[in-house]
Amino acid sequence: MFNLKYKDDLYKFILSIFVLSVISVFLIAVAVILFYSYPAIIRYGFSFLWVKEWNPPKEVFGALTFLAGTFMVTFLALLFAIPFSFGIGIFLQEYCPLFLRGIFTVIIEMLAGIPSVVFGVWGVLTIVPWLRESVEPFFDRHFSSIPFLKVEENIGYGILAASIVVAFMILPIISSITKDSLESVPKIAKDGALAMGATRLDVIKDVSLPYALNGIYGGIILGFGRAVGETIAVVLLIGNQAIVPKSLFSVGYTISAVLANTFTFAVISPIYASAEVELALILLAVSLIINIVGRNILNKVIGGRFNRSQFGGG
Amino acid sequence: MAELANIKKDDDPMPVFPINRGYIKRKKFYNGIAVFLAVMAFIIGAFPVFHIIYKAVALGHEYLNWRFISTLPTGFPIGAQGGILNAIIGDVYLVVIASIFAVPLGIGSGLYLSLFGKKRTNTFLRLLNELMIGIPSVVWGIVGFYVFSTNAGLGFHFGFSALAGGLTLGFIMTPIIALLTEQAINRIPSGYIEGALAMGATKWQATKSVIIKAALGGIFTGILLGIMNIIGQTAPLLFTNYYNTGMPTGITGPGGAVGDLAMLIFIYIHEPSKILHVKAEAASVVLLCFIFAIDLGLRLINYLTRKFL
Repeated sequence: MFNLKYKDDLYKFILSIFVLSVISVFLIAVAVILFYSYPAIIRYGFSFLWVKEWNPPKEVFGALTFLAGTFMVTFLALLFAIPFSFGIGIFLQEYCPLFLRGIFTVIIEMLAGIPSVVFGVWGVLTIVPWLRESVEPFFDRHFSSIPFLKVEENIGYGILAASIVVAFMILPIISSITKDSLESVPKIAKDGALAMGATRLDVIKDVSLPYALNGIYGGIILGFGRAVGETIAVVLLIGNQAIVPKSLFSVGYTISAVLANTFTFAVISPIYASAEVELALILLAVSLIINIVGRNILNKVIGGRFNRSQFGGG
Repeated sequence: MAELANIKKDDDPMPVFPINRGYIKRKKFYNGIAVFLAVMAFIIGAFPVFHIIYKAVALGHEYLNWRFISTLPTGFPIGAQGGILNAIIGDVYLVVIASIFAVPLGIGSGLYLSLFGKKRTNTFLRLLNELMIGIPSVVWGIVGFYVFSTNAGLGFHFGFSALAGGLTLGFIMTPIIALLTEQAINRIPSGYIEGALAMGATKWQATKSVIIKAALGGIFTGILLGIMNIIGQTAPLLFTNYYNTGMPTGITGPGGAVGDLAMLIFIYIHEPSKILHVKAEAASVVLLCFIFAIDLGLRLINYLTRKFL
């Protein structure tokens, strides 16, 4: 009997080594980012967040330009994605005929599986020419007096192109979580409302949505987390110029794009590299906070069930 | 009852309560608008799936042949002639290295959680895995650079190589496998495991003869989802592996870098060359084929597990 008990202890010991390695992967990630960004944090302090100039030769580093670009792309992407993913979730869960629901869900999940570099290529070859040839001339003719809609250079690349593509990338996350939240509404409540003569719309408006709203918020928060860290598609589409975007059509730069473009050059100079790692620290901190909040909400609503649309290509 | 039956339809009896037909019509009209909007949202959401595939095939179809897949890129700019063999071989390297790292770790920690874990450890570790999935891939790239690739300071000093890139991708893959393994084991009816333990089996014997068999579908789902995720990754490879137009001569140090499909597409689309853009689209078709093939495998596994287990 000693033998069997001993074996189980050994088994537990081996498995706990695996668990500790998983934990240490996370700790290594956080520790590496904190360790290498430490010199920049000490040297620039909080001014890093509101200084506009990013000048490696003069060793002046401020992230405001990139923060503004990231904020604008994320905000616009959410603005585009939320109504559509809302509609998709409602369509799949409430309106879609049952025999089509499976295949339609697969189509939305396929969207989640497409890698971001393929999205980027599609954006470069489809969205950018469309913006350049149809949308921007139109806005230039009719809305050039509104500062936010002013077309500065008619090149197609810029904030709008990046946010449209990012919106398509976060669409499956938000819509699948919307669908799951609507699915968690007790059927008896919906059936009761239907039996009282309510239309489908009444049921959605007065029964399902109040019940599912928290889950939908959770989905939006997770979508925000994805949009903030989105790199490759944004690099290809945003135009990569370090200016604070003033209009929907202007070019810009996001934190993730700066990292992708310049990090390999930055490692030559320690303080430059450290400033870049501090940018990564901002991304890391935002993603951790967002995910803690979003997961907490989702665990309450849909019981932590993991939808596969939530892993996408990076 | 007899009186009720005698009432004829065209007598139009007084309704018990007044029906506001306009109100009902309006309600139905609003419902119709909602249906229309929801259908439009779905059509616009589904549009890129088809348009991406259509555009990629329409532009890249002339290269979609065996030669493209089985030759190395040559010509000037590099890739103008030849194919993408370097990237496909490189993807195999990266996926194998990442899997060797991530599969034991993910399955092991999933097993620990469901066999030995207390409630609080489980909640904590699940949150940790979810957080790791949420970390942007470009941040993983920087972590991978400082842990594996850098030549100065602490770290493994692998250089820009398949080993560094693969292990960084392994970091990304681990939490996915861990989460899905744990979920798969939790879905096993508790009688299976408890029955085995009640018969006097040790936990190791229960794992070997019951749990692994019952959770196999879920575990494979996790592994395939992980692979599907990492073959689309570009950002982590920018700082840990970059790209190689030829065959790797090793897996670490100089000559250890490998090609990668996602990286190849990213580099080709950056070049101001029409032919490379077309080749990027052709390579996108190949990458999408891999991804959708894995997707199909996933659905098959799901279907079979549901049917036979």
